[in-house]
Amino acid sequence: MDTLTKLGILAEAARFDAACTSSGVTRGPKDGKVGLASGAGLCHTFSRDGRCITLLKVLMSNACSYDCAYCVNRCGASCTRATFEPRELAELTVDFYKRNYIEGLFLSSGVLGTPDATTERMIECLRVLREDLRFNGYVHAKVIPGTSPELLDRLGHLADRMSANLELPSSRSLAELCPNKDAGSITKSMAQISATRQGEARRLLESGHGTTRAALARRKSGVVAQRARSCTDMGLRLNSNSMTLRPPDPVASGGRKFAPAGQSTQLIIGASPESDHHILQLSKSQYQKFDLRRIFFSAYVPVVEDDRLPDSATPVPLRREHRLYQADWLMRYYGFDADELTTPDAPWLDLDLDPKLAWALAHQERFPIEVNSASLEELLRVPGIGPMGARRIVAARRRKRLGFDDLRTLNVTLKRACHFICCSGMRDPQAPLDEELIRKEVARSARDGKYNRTRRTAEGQLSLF
Amino acid sequence: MTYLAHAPASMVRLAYSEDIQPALDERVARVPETESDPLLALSRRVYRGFERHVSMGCPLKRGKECPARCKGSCASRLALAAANDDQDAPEAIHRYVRLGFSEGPRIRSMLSDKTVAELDRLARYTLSECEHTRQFVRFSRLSDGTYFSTFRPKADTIPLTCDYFATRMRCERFCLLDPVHHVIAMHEDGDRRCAVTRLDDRLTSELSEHASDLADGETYVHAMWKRFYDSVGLDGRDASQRGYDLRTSWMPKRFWGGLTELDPTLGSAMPSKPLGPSGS
Repeated sequence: MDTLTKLGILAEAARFDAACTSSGVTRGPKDGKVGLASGAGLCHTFSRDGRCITLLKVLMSNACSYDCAYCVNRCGASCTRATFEPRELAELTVDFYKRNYIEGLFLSSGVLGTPDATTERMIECLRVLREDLRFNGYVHAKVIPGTSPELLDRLGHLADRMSANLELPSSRSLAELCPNKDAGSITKSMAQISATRQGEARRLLESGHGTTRAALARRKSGVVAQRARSCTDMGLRLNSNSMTLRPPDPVASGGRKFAPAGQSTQLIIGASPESDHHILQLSKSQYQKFDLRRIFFSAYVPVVEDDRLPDSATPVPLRREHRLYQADWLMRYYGFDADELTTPDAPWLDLDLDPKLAWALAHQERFPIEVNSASLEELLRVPGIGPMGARRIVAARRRKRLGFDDLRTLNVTLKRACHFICCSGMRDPQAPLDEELIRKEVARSARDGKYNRTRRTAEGQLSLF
Repeated sequence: MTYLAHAPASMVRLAYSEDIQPALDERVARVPETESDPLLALSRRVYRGFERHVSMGCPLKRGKECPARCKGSCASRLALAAANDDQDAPEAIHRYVRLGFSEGPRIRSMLSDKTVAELDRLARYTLSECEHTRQFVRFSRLSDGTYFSTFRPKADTIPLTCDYFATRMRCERFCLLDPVHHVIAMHEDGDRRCAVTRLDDRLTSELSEHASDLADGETYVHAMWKRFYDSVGLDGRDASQRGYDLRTSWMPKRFWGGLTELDPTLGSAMPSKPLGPSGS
């Protein structure tokens, strides 16, 4: 089988991991080596369904010996099987990189015999890529559940980011749908990655590498949101990735040798019955326990007929995936707690409203806020004001008291924000004052959007309003 | 020119020579077309003076120098705005420069000022176009081993982004041609920077013809990339399911013609891999 055919099979086999994974570390060029890594990543193209493609995301092999119910590559499926030779995939990565198609490699695999045998093959591919082909770009490696700690350690020294997929939001669902996987072995790998990274950080700090102790102490003592208060001090950034409220890494990634871009995980949404509340609480605990960089959500695409799974005619839960990502963003960038977004009594996110807007409508007693005196944290709670907008407001009001025209000039989305703010005590003259009226108008406007209407039709749901 | 710099802002309006439409009471004063040394020296002096003036007290400054990585901040956003094709760019820059000289470092917090906002809009668009350049440039390997790309941005982004490609592909010889702005960036193996050259129409069209002189096996690499792209799309998530076209909003259609993965001439069924090097 030639490389073209294998690539088609193994890219198609990897696509159900729908996460748009990009780069997560900055690494400058090195003499004699190919490429670099930039923290924000670069989306080199967008698939026909609109997901960004930054990395060459493929499986090493789709000849899997596991039998996960939802997976197109499970051992019982009758699909064409293919396996890359380690050097073949490494050369393909460099070929694509030099043509500016990708930022690096996202390497995953079906379980080719045993987890260790699969990981050894992945390690050989990455060794050729790093040592023989001198590739300095970005590499994301998936952890095969059940891989031995020694191999995991070697893999982590070749990859920038590692991810062990939780797959399903509860061990009960995992046991039911993935009989060959157990939650314990997945979390064990995550714990090992986290512990190795922490150990490395400690050693680097003790030996004087990475961030200085004084800087570390400053970072620990300060309120997280105090970083980079003014957007003029940061230039005209187009994205706000650096504005996450996550406490910064104590050591610079440049000094790290083991998984410098940290670890992430992925959850399949909609294949099992867990609620959004369950997923957000799980996310919160995973972020804290394993120092995860990201949790990715993949809306379940029903391609397999199985009694344990949703019917094959079930629509892809696109909006649910979207709302969960928005909630995840609120937790990482806006200082929201998972408990503020869902509760055991109201365990589902509203599909028609973004979670920030839904939270604001449910807490109207906290609004309107005065933009000329509100703290950054308060501004970040206003629908229509994002991390960049909030910092622009903070910078601009040093110079003068801001009015609604100024906010418009600062590119604040007043259509949403106007209901929740006032400027020098004045409300927007066009916006209603009555809380109930605001709630109705804002909710109606959101629900009537084309996106919500299209999805409601696809999902066969009726609006409750 | 020096006289005009001292005239009140309301009495002077800057425009590209091809966009000039003088009002009844306006007179046209043309800047010489040639890149004469005194003119360049004057531009540099104004730029440095402006930078010194507005960056006073900036926490990012190292000594007297603005950091090279301080993209888009106070002074360097002038260069970004100047690279914008918008016909209003000269006048917006003119007003911003005057405002900077009169307000000094205060201009950094004047984000809601109309003059600053207009310059920011132009600069932000150029930055966005620079990002598109880094995203959507597609190199092809030519028969002499050079990597070549033709790219058509809506701002003069090649001089702003070519050094990024030089760091990314330091060990390669490559050319990046922008036929719209008549500019080419050339990089030799091992160099830290690119040589940027302005071209005339004849040279631009001559260089464009090189793009078809592909190395052996190059079409196969193109076909592999297209196969990968075609294989990763997922059903149930496309424009008809969303109510809007997410792909087009992230990847404007004006770039599609230059994207290998959307090249309709690369058939899905390709011959098996030819013998010989594939280019890595």
